[in-house]
Amino acid sequence: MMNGDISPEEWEELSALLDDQLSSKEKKGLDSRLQQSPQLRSALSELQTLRSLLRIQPGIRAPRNYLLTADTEGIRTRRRQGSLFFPVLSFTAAVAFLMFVFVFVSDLFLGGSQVIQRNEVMEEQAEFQLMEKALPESAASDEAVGEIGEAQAVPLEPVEGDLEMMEKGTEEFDRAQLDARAPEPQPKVETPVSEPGEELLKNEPYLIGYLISNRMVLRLLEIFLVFVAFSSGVGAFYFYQKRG
Amino acid sequence: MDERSLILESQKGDIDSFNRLVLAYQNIVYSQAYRVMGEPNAADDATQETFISAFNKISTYRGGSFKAWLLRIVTNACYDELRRRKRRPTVSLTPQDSQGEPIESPNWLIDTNETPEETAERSEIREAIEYCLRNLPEEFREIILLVDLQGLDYRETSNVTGKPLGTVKSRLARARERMRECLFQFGELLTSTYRFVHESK
Repeated sequence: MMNGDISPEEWEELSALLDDQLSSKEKKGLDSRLQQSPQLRSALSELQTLRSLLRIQPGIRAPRNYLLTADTEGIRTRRRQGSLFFPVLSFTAAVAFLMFVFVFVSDLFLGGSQVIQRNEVMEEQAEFQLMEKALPESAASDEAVGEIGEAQAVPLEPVEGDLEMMEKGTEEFDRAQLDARAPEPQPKVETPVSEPGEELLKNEPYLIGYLISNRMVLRLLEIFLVFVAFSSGVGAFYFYQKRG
Repeated sequence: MDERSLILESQKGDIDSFNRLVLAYQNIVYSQAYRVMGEPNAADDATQETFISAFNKISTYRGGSFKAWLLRIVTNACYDELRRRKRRPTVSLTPQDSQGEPIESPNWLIDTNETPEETAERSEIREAIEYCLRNLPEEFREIILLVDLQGLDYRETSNVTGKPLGTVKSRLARARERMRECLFQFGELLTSTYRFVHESK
Protein backbone atom coordinates (compact mmCIF):
# COMPACT_ATOMS: atom_id res chain seq x y z
CA MET A 1 0.00 0.00 0.00
CA MET A 2 3.00 2.25 -0.13
CA ASN A 3 2.86 4.84 -2.82
CA GLY A 4 6.07 6.67 -2.09
CA ASP A 5 6.90 7.38 -5.70
CA ILE A 6 3.74 9.38 -6.32
CA SER A 7 4.47 13.06 -6.56
CA PRO A 8 2.54 15.70 -4.56
CA GLU A 9 1.10 16.99 -7.85
CA GLU A 10 -0.28 13.53 -8.59
CA TRP A 11 -1.79 13.32 -5.11
CA GLU A 12 -3.43 16.63 -5.72
CA GLU A 13 -4.80 15.46 -9.05
CA LEU A 14 -6.12 12.24 -7.52
CA SER A 15 -7.74 14.15 -4.69
CA ALA A 16 -9.32 16.63 -7.08
CA LEU A 17 -10.53 13.78 -9.29
CA LEU A 18 -12.47 12.35 -6.35
CA ASP A 19 -14.16 15.68 -5.79
CA ASP A 20 -14.79 16.16 -9.50
CA GLN A 21 -12.66 19.28 -9.54
CA LEU A 22 -10.60 18.49 -12.62
CA SER A 23 -11.15 19.96 -16.02
CA SER A 24 -11.98 17.51 -18.79
CA LYS A 25 -8.48 17.90 -20.22
CA GLU A 26 -6.85 17.18 -16.84
CA LYS A 27 -9.19 14.29 -16.33
CA LYS A 28 -8.28 12.72 -19.67
CA GLY A 29 -4.57 13.07 -18.93
CA LEU A 30 -4.94 11.49 -15.51
CA ASP A 31 -7.12 8.67 -16.82
CA SER A 32 -4.45 7.67 -19.30
CA ARG A 33 -1.77 7.68 -16.58
CA LEU A 34 -4.03 5.67 -14.28
CA GLN A 35 -4.33 2.99 -16.94
CA GLN A 36 -0.56 2.78 -17.21
CA SER A 37 0.34 2.95 -13.47
CA PRO A 38 -0.91 0.34 -10.98
CA GLN A 39 0.59 2.39 -8.13
CA LEU A 40 -1.47 5.38 -9.14
CA ARG A 41 -4.59 3.24 -9.30
CA SER A 42 -3.84 1.84 -5.85
CA ALA A 43 -3.34 5.33 -4.46
CA LEU A 44 -6.60 6.47 -5.98
CA SER A 45 -8.40 3.52 -4.43
CA GLU A 46 -6.94 4.25 -1.01
CA LEU A 47 -7.84 7.91 -1.22
CA GLN A 48 -11.34 7.00 -2.29
CA THR A 49 -11.70 4.69 0.70
CA LEU A 50 -10.33 7.28 3.07
CA ARG A 51 -12.68 9.91 1.71
CA SER A 52 -15.66 7.57 2.06
CA LEU A 53 -14.57 6.63 5.54
CA LEU A 54 -14.37 10.24 6.62
CA ARG A 55 -17.69 11.12 5.04
CA ILE A 56 -19.59 8.37 6.79
CA GLN A 57 -18.32 9.41 10.18
CA PRO A 58 -21.24 10.46 12.34
CA GLY A 59 -21.16 13.92 13.81
CA ILE A 60 -20.40 14.27 17.48
CA ARG A 61 -23.54 14.87 19.46
CA ALA A 62 -23.59 18.11 21.39
CA PRO A 63 -23.62 17.42 25.14
CA ARG A 64 -26.31 20.03 25.73
CA ASN A 65 -28.50 22.58 24.02
CA TYR A 66 -26.99 25.94 23.27
CA LEU A 67 -30.23 27.89 23.26
CA LEU A 68 -29.91 31.58 23.87
CA THR A 69 -32.02 33.80 26.06
CA ALA A 70 -32.12 37.56 26.36
CA ASP A 71 -30.13 37.13 29.58
CA THR A 72 -27.36 35.10 27.98
CA GLU A 73 -24.08 36.81 28.67
CA GLY A 74 -22.68 38.50 25.60
CA ILE A 75 -25.97 38.75 23.77
CA ARG A 76 -26.55 42.11 22.20
CA THR A 77 -30.31 42.28 22.14
CA ARG A 78 -31.34 44.30 19.17
CA ARG A 79 -34.43 46.41 19.30
CA ARG A 80 -36.99 44.97 17.02
CA GLN A 81 -37.86 46.99 14.00
CA GLY A 82 -40.25 49.76 14.92
CA SER A 83 -39.67 49.58 18.63
CA LEU A 84 -37.67 52.80 18.47
CA PHE A 85 -40.30 54.53 16.37
CA PHE A 86 -43.12 53.70 18.73
CA PRO A 87 -41.94 55.71 21.76
CA VAL A 88 -40.73 58.57 19.58
CA LEU A 89 -43.97 58.82 17.65
CA SER A 90 -46.20 58.43 20.69
CA PHE A 91 -44.21 61.11 22.51
CA THR A 92 -44.49 63.41 19.48
CA ALA A 93 -48.22 62.81 19.29
CA ALA A 94 -48.67 63.58 22.98
CA VAL A 95 -46.58 66.76 22.83
CA ALA A 96 -48.33 67.94 19.68
CA PHE A 97 -51.73 67.32 21.26
CA LEU A 98 -50.81 69.22 24.43
CA MET A 99 -49.47 72.09 22.37
CA PHE A 100 -52.66 72.10 20.34
CA VAL A 101 -54.77 72.31 23.50
CA PHE A 102 -52.63 75.18 24.78
CA VAL A 103 -52.80 77.07 21.51
CA PHE A 104 -56.51 76.42 21.16
CA VAL A 105 -57.25 77.73 24.64
CA SER A 106 -55.00 80.72 24.02
CA ASP A 107 -56.80 81.32 20.77
CA LEU A 108 -60.14 81.27 22.56
CA PHE A 109 -58.98 83.88 25.06
CA LEU A 110 -57.31 85.96 22.42
CA GLY A 111 -60.38 85.64 20.23
CA GLY A 112 -62.60 86.86 23.09
CA SER A 113 -60.40 89.84 23.81
CA GLN A 114 -60.20 90.58 20.13
CA VAL A 115 -64.00 90.63 19.91
CA ILE A 116 -64.14 93.01 22.84
CA GLN A 117 -61.45 95.15 21.32
CA ARG A 118 -63.13 95.12 17.96
CA ASN A 119 -66.49 95.97 19.53
CA GLU A 120 -64.87 98.86 21.31
CA VAL A 121 -63.31 99.96 18.06
CA MET A 122 -66.66 99.67 16.28
CA GLU A 123 -68.38 101.72 18.96
CA GLU A 124 -65.70 104.34 18.82
CA GLN A 125 -65.92 104.34 15.07
CA ALA A 126 -69.69 104.76 15.11
CA GLU A 127 -69.37 107.59 17.60
CA PHE A 128 -66.72 109.21 15.48
CA GLN A 129 -68.91 108.98 12.40
CA LEU A 130 -71.78 110.52 14.28
CA MET A 131 -69.55 113.32 15.35
CA GLU A 132 -68.35 113.89 11.82
CA LYS A 133 -71.97 114.19 10.69
CA ALA A 134 -72.87 116.40 13.55
CA LEU A 135 -70.07 118.92 13.06
CA PRO A 136 -71.29 120.66 9.82
CA GLU A 137 -74.90 120.87 11.10
CA SER A 138 -73.64 122.40 14.27
CA ALA A 139 -71.74 124.99 12.30
CA ALA A 140 -74.90 125.76 10.32
CA SER A 141 -76.93 126.09 13.47
CA ASP A 142 -74.37 128.53 14.82
CA GLU A 143 -74.84 130.68 11.76
CA ALA A 144 -78.61 130.44 12.20
CA VAL A 145 -78.27 131.47 15.80
CA GLY A 146 -76.26 134.50 14.71
CA GLU A 147 -78.87 135.50 12.20
CA ILE A 148 -81.54 135.20 14.83
CA GLY A 149 -79.55 137.41 17.09
CA GLU A 150 -79.24 140.01 14.40
CA ALA A 151 -82.91 139.71 13.60
CA GLN A 152 -83.76 140.28 17.23
CA ALA A 153 -81.40 143.22 17.48
CA VAL A 154 -82.73 145.05 14.43
CA PRO A 155 -86.31 146.29 14.85
CA LEU A 156 -88.62 144.48 12.53
CA GLU A 157 -90.05 146.52 9.73
CA PRO A 158 -93.19 145.25 8.19
CA VAL A 159 -92.95 144.18 4.59
CA GLU A 160 -95.75 143.83 2.08
CA GLY A 161 -96.44 140.21 2.91
CA ASP A 162 -96.28 141.00 6.54
CA LEU A 163 -98.81 143.67 6.19
CA GLU A 164 -101.15 141.27 4.49
CA MET A 165 -100.57 138.77 7.20
CA MET A 166 -101.10 141.34 9.83
CA GLU A 167 -104.34 142.05 8.25
CA LYS A 168 -105.31 138.39 8.44
CA GLY A 169 -104.48 138.17 12.05
CA THR A 170 -101.70 138.68 14.51
CA GLU A 171 -101.50 135.12 15.68
CA GLU A 172 -100.92 133.63 12.26
CA PHE A 173 -98.41 136.33 11.51
CA ASP A 174 -96.47 135.61 14.66
CA ARG A 175 -96.40 131.88 14.02
CA ALA A 176 -95.29 132.31 10.42
CA GLN A 177 -92.58 134.70 11.46
CA LEU A 178 -91.34 132.29 14.02
CA ASP A 179 -91.44 129.39 11.64
CA ALA A 180 -89.50 131.27 9.01
CA ARG A 181 -86.89 133.02 11.09
CA ALA A 182 -86.56 131.45 14.38
CA PRO A 183 -83.89 128.72 14.35
CA GLU A 184 -85.03 125.18 14.70
CA PRO A 185 -84.22 123.47 17.96
CA GLN A 186 -80.93 121.64 17.46
CA PRO A 187 -79.72 118.64 19.40
CA LYS A 188 -77.22 119.42 22.02
CA VAL A 189 -73.82 119.16 20.43
CA GLU A 190 -70.70 118.49 22.35
CA THR A 191 -67.41 119.49 20.99
CA PRO A 192 -65.31 116.35 20.35
CA VAL A 193 -62.57 115.95 22.93
CA SER A 194 -59.33 114.16 22.32
CA GLU A 195 -59.42 110.83 24.21
CA PRO A 196 -57.34 107.64 24.22
CA GLY A 197 -59.89 105.98 21.97
CA GLU A 198 -59.01 108.48 19.31
CA GLU A 199 -55.55 107.02 18.90
CA LEU A 200 -57.09 103.58 18.69
CA LEU A 201 -59.43 104.81 16.03
CA LYS A 202 -56.63 106.34 14.06
CA ASN A 203 -54.73 103.03 14.04
CA GLU A 204 -57.82 100.93 13.78
CA PRO A 205 -57.16 99.37 10.33
CA TYR A 206 -53.66 98.38 11.35
CA LEU A 207 -54.81 97.00 14.67
CA ILE A 208 -57.50 94.90 13.10
CA GLY A 209 -55.05 93.63 10.49
CA TYR A 210 -52.57 92.78 13.19
CA LEU A 211 -55.16 90.95 15.23
CA ILE A 212 -56.50 89.11 12.22
CA SER A 213 -53.02 88.05 11.10
CA ASN A 214 -52.30 86.84 14.64
CA ARG A 215 -55.42 84.76 14.58
CA MET A 216 -54.51 83.36 11.20
CA VAL A 217 -51.13 82.29 12.52
CA LEU A 218 -52.80 80.64 15.47
CA ARG A 219 -55.26 78.86 13.22
CA LEU A 220 -52.47 77.59 11.01
CA LEU A 221 -50.54 76.48 14.08
CA GLU A 222 -53.58 74.66 15.37
CA ILE A 223 -54.05 72.87 12.04
CA PHE A 224 -50.40 71.94 11.95
CA LEU A 225 -50.44 70.60 15.50
CA VAL A 226 -53.57 68.58 14.87
CA PHE A 227 -51.96 67.13 11.77
CA VAL A 228 -48.75 66.25 13.62
CA ALA A 229 -50.62 64.77 16.57
CA PHE A 230 -52.85 62.70 14.33
CA SER A 231 -50.16 61.40 11.98
CA SER A 232 -47.79 60.65 14.87
CA GLY A 233 -50.57 58.85 16.69
CA VAL A 234 -51.39 56.74 13.65
CA GLY A 235 -47.69 55.98 13.16
CA ALA A 236 -47.25 55.05 16.80
CA PHE A 237 -50.26 52.76 16.63
CA TYR A 238 -48.90 51.11 13.49
CA PHE A 239 -45.52 50.39 15.06
CA TYR A 240 -47.16 49.26 18.28
CA GLN A 241 -49.21 46.74 16.32
CA LYS A 242 -46.15 45.67 14.34
CA ARG A 243 -44.12 45.21 17.49
CA GLY A 244 -46.83 42.98 18.80
CA MET B 1 -40.89 27.94 8.99
CA ASP B 2 -37.99 27.37 6.63
CA GLU B 3 -34.38 28.25 7.30
CA ARG B 4 -34.49 31.48 5.33
CA SER B 5 -37.49 32.76 7.27
CA LEU B 6 -35.83 31.83 10.54
CA ILE B 7 -32.72 33.73 9.52
CA LEU B 8 -34.77 36.78 8.53
CA GLU B 9 -36.60 36.72 11.85
CA SER B 10 -33.31 36.29 13.67
CA GLN B 11 -31.94 39.29 11.84
CA LYS B 12 -34.82 41.28 13.30
CA GLY B 13 -33.70 40.19 16.75
CA ASP B 14 -36.05 37.27 17.32
CA ILE B 15 -34.19 34.93 19.67
CA ASP B 16 -36.80 32.18 19.36
CA SER B 17 -36.23 31.91 15.63
CA PHE B 18 -32.50 31.88 16.16
CA ASN B 19 -32.84 29.14 18.75
CA ARG B 20 -34.52 26.96 16.16
CA LEU B 21 -31.44 27.41 14.02
CA VAL B 22 -29.31 26.58 17.05
CA LEU B 23 -31.15 23.30 17.51
CA ALA B 24 -30.68 22.47 13.85
CA TYR B 25 -26.96 23.20 13.78
CA GLN B 26 -25.63 22.64 17.29
CA ASN B 27 -24.35 19.10 16.59
CA ILE B 28 -22.54 20.25 13.46
CA VAL B 29 -20.98 23.20 15.26
CA TYR B 30 -20.04 21.14 18.29
CA SER B 31 -18.49 18.42 16.11
CA GLN B 32 -16.36 20.97 14.34
CA ALA B 33 -15.32 22.58 17.62
CA TYR B 34 -14.54 19.24 19.20
CA ARG B 35 -12.44 18.11 16.27
CA VAL B 36 -10.51 21.33 16.13
CA MET B 37 -10.03 21.75 19.86
CA GLY B 38 -9.74 18.09 20.73
CA GLU B 39 -11.40 18.33 24.12
CA PRO B 40 -15.03 18.51 25.18
CA ASN B 41 -14.85 21.46 27.56
CA ALA B 42 -13.12 23.70 25.06
CA ALA B 43 -15.53 22.53 22.36
CA ASP B 44 -18.45 23.34 24.62
CA ASP B 45 -17.17 26.85 25.25
CA ALA B 46 -16.41 27.38 21.59
CA THR B 47 -19.87 26.22 20.56
CA GLN B 48 -21.58 28.53 23.02
CA GLU B 49 -19.38 31.39 21.94
CA THR B 50 -20.12 30.62 18.31
CA PHE B 51 -23.87 30.86 18.71
CA ILE B 52 -23.63 34.07 20.73
CA SER B 53 -21.34 35.55 18.14
CA ALA B 54 -23.56 34.32 15.32
CA PHE B 55 -26.62 35.93 16.87
CA ASN B 56 -24.78 39.20 17.38
CA LYS B 57 -23.46 39.19 13.83
CA ILE B 58 -26.41 37.69 12.01
CA SER B 59 -27.27 41.03 10.45
CA THR B 60 -24.02 40.68 8.48
CA TYR B 61 -25.12 37.34 7.00
CA ARG B 62 -25.74 37.96 3.29
CA GLY B 63 -27.10 34.67 2.04
CA GLY B 64 -25.28 31.57 0.89
CA SER B 65 -24.82 28.48 3.00
CA PHE B 66 -25.79 29.19 6.60
CA LYS B 67 -23.97 26.07 7.65
CA ALA B 68 -20.77 27.35 6.02
CA TRP B 69 -21.28 30.71 7.71
CA LEU B 70 -21.60 29.03 11.13
CA LEU B 71 -18.62 26.79 10.44
CA ARG B 72 -16.56 29.83 9.61
CA ILE B 73 -17.44 31.39 12.96
CA VAL B 74 -16.75 28.26 14.97
CA THR B 75 -13.51 27.54 13.14
CA ASN B 76 -12.28 31.07 13.71
CA ALA B 77 -13.33 30.93 17.35
CA CYS B 78 -11.45 27.67 17.84
CA TYR B 79 -8.26 28.87 16.19
CA ASP B 80 -8.43 32.14 18.10
CA GLU B 81 -8.64 30.13 21.30
CA LEU B 82 -5.79 27.86 20.25
CA ARG B 83 -3.64 30.86 19.38
CA ARG B 84 -4.51 32.46 22.70
CA ARG B 85 -3.47 29.29 24.50
CA LYS B 86 -0.20 29.23 22.62
CA ARG B 87 0.52 32.82 23.62
CA ARG B 88 -0.49 32.30 27.23
CA PRO B 89 -0.31 28.62 28.05
CA THR B 90 -2.11 27.94 31.30
CA VAL B 91 -1.26 24.26 31.40
CA SER B 92 2.14 22.89 30.47
CA LEU B 93 2.00 20.87 27.31
CA THR B 94 4.86 18.77 28.70
CA PRO B 95 3.42 16.07 30.92
CA GLN B 96 4.65 16.28 34.46
CA ASP B 97 4.84 13.74 37.25
CA SER B 98 3.43 14.21 40.73
CA GLN B 99 6.59 16.10 41.73
CA GLY B 100 6.14 18.60 38.90
CA GLU B 101 9.11 17.20 37.00
CA PRO B 102 8.68 16.78 33.24
CA ILE B 103 8.19 13.27 31.99
CA GLU B 104 11.00 12.23 29.68
CA SER B 105 9.12 11.65 26.46
CA PRO B 106 7.31 14.69 25.11
CA ASN B 107 5.75 12.58 22.41
CA TRP B 108 3.50 10.89 24.90
CA LEU B 109 0.52 11.33 22.66
CA ILE B 110 2.02 8.96 20.13
CA ASP B 111 3.06 5.83 21.87
CA THR B 112 5.90 4.67 19.67
CA ASN B 113 6.26 1.48 21.73
CA GLU B 114 2.75 0.48 20.80
CA THR B 115 2.53 -1.82 17.80
CA PRO B 116 -0.05 -1.23 15.10
CA GLU B 117 -1.76 -4.44 16.23
CA GLU B 118 -2.03 -3.24 19.81
CA THR B 119 -3.33 0.10 18.58
CA ALA B 120 -5.83 -1.63 16.39
CA GLU B 121 -6.95 -3.76 19.29
CA ARG B 122 -7.31 -0.82 21.60
CA SER B 123 -8.83 1.70 19.20
CA GLU B 124 -11.86 1.63 17.12
CA ILE B 125 -11.80 3.16 13.72
CA ARG B 126 -13.47 6.29 14.89
CA GLU B 127 -10.91 6.90 17.55
CA ALA B 128 -8.23 6.27 14.97
CA ILE B 129 -9.66 8.88 12.69
CA GLU B 130 -10.03 11.36 15.52
CA TYR B 131 -6.50 10.65 16.55
CA CYS B 132 -5.17 11.21 13.04
CA LEU B 133 -7.19 14.35 12.65
CA ARG B 134 -5.83 15.76 15.87
CA ASN B 135 -2.29 15.09 14.71
CA LEU B 136 -2.69 16.90 11.43
CA PRO B 137 -1.18 20.35 11.14
CA GLU B 138 -3.83 23.01 11.75
CA GLU B 139 -3.95 24.26 8.19
CA PHE B 140 -4.59 20.76 6.85
CA ARG B 141 -7.00 19.75 9.59
CA GLU B 142 -9.09 22.84 8.98
CA ILE B 143 -9.56 21.98 5.32
CA ILE B 144 -10.19 18.25 5.63
CA LEU B 145 -12.71 18.80 8.42
CA LEU B 146 -14.69 21.21 6.30
CA VAL B 147 -14.57 19.21 3.07
CA ASP B 148 -14.68 15.56 4.14
CA LEU B 149 -16.43 15.71 7.50
CA GLN B 150 -18.73 18.71 7.08
CA GLY B 151 -19.35 18.14 3.38
CA LEU B 152 -18.60 21.64 2.12
CA ASP B 153 -17.47 22.07 -1.46
CA TYR B 154 -14.21 23.75 -2.41
CA ARG B 155 -15.76 27.16 -2.92
CA GLU B 156 -17.57 27.12 0.42
CA THR B 157 -14.41 25.96 2.10
CA SER B 158 -12.53 28.77 0.43
CA ASN B 159 -15.09 31.24 1.77
CA VAL B 160 -14.96 29.79 5.27
CA THR B 161 -11.19 29.74 5.53
CA GLY B 162 -10.52 32.81 3.44
CA LYS B 163 -7.99 30.85 1.40
CA PRO B 164 -7.87 30.73 -2.41
CA LEU B 165 -9.37 27.75 -4.19
CA GLY B 166 -5.96 26.52 -5.27
CA THR B 167 -4.75 26.53 -1.68
CA VAL B 168 -7.82 24.62 -0.57
CA LYS B 169 -7.25 22.05 -3.29
CA SER B 170 -3.58 21.47 -2.50
CA ARG B 171 -4.04 21.47 1.27
CA LEU B 172 -6.86 18.99 1.00
CA ALA B 173 -4.73 16.64 -1.08
CA ARG B 174 -1.90 16.84 1.43
CA ALA B 175 -4.27 16.41 4.35
CA ARG B 176 -5.71 13.28 2.79
CA GLU B 177 -2.27 11.94 2.08
CA ARG B 178 -1.24 12.49 5.70
CA MET B 179 -4.44 10.95 7.00
CA ARG B 180 -3.80 7.92 4.87
CA GLU B 181 -0.29 7.61 6.20
CA CYS B 182 -1.48 8.07 9.75
CA LEU B 183 -4.18 5.47 9.47
CA PHE B 184 -1.62 2.93 8.36
CA GLN B 185 -0.49 2.87 11.99
CA PHE B 186 -3.69 1.07 12.74
CA GLY B 187 -2.82 -1.80 10.43
CA GLU B 188 -5.49 -4.51 10.42
CA LEU B 189 -8.12 -2.16 11.70
CA LEU B 190 -7.58 -0.02 8.70
CA THR B 191 -7.50 -3.01 6.39
CA SER B 192 -10.77 -4.36 7.76
CA THR B 193 -12.28 -0.92 7.65
CA TYR B 194 -11.23 -0.51 4.05
CA ARG B 195 -12.82 -3.84 3.31
CA PHE B 196 -15.97 -2.75 5.11
CA VAL B 197 -16.11 0.49 3.21
CA HIS B 198 -15.57 -1.25 -0.10
CA GLU B 199 -18.23 -3.85 0.69
CA SER B 200 -20.70 -1.25 1.84
CA LYS B 201 -20.28 0.77 -1.39
